[in-house]
Amino acid sequence: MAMHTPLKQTYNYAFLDEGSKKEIRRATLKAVAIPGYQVPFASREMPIGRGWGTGGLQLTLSLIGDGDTLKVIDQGNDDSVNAVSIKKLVQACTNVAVTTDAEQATLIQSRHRIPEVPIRADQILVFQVPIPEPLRFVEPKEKKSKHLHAEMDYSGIWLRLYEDIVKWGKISIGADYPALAHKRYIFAPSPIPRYDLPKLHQAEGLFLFGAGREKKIYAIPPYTDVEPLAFDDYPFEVEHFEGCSCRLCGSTDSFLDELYDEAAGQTFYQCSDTGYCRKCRERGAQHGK
Amino acid sequence: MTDTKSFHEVHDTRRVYRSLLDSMARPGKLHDLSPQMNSIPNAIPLFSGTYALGRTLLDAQTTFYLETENNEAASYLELRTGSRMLAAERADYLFIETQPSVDLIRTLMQQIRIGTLLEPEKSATLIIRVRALSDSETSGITMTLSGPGIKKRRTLSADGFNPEWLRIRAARNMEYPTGCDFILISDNGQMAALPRTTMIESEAV
Ligand SMILES: [Zn+2]
Repeated sequence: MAMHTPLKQTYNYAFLDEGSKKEIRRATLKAVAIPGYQVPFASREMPIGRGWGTGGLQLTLSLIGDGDTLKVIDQGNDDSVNAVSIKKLVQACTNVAVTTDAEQATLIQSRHRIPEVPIRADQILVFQVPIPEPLRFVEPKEKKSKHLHAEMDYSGIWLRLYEDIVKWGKISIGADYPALAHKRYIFAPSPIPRYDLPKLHQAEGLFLFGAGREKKIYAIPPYTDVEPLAFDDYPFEVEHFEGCSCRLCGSTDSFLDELYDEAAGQTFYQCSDTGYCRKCRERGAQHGK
Repeated sequence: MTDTKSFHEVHDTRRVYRSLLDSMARPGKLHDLSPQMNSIPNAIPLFSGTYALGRTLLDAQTTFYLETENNEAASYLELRTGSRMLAAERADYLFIETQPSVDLIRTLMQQIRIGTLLEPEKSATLIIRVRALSDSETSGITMTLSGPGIKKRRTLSADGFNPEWLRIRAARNMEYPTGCDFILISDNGQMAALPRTTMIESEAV
């Protein structure tokens, strides 16, 4: 048997005890078998605060091991405090390598973004989910929303979207735009921008969603239909950045964050996916730009 | 942490799980569990595939049903996992090591849990041993698969897999999201999953 690097005695390998991992794994397997359905799980106390990605972290820890390379991003950013502390925790209790390069990673844990480069078949993207229930804003009680899912009674959320159009002339939901998985369950894609939602449809990669505080796991398997809720005459639209480019790498086809430079009194744009932006700049430098 | 010989509770169960997860996410895709199965001693009263998957999935929170010809097998699996053997209608995981008669297949498939509309996850997972699995047409029954996890279509052939399983599976999976999920594992450790979402066409059915 291969020897593993000695670890701090206070930690189990990958932090969780084997019973907790098994429970998360069993829930994940059922989640994959029923795309978009929220499978309850026990959700353990983690050494980071709830609301800081404990659901995603538990999924990551149930998966990770020898041969994995981990990338963690927070709104596209590898270097945010949250992403860095999750990486440190995982590294302290496993022997895996970390990377900022999405193409090098086998596991990517993310808060609120999907990387620009499509997730491959040999990669898994784990989302940190604050609110797993897409019907929450039309039905606050979980017991009732669970029945609505069971009966596929989605009239409430459709009515809300219709009222939006009457009032605003468009559907006003930006991030966390609800979508239908495998023509059966409406699910919350977590607060990713609309720009990222089509990446879940008939994709090559596997997407797992973990909500720690609300104790739910759900999944979108590869090659699964993911249809954003929309009306024929008000189709789903993603954010556009026409005429804008990243001030660092010059990219015109990535998701851009709008920032304000107070000193210059100017608005500028920058890739939200920092790993992608870095690679674009490196490639640019190689080509003698 | 380590069993007799060298099946590792932490690392081998994790490897089996990753294979299983990819199998479930990509129905019909073959995964090779033989490295983990070969690390299990031959002397145990169980099929090594049952052992590897049992150690990965079962604990005191779960229940199983085991169809076997070895009368020491169930208590061995209980001892090794902390899980309990129950009747088929109450089991979370059903391990089928034998080649049951059509009548027994029908009985088992009528008894298993398929969950409810409110809790479709409270449904059985069947782990069925077959002689051989292949992704090209060979002997046995050939299945054409489609559904989530499959780009257009995928072919899976199973030798030593009674088509009666598929006939009753189709009936029990009629009202999605309720249903049951299959994991097929061959004598030499090839594994493929058929979750409830997979549509199966086969001339044998
Ligand atoms: Zn950029």
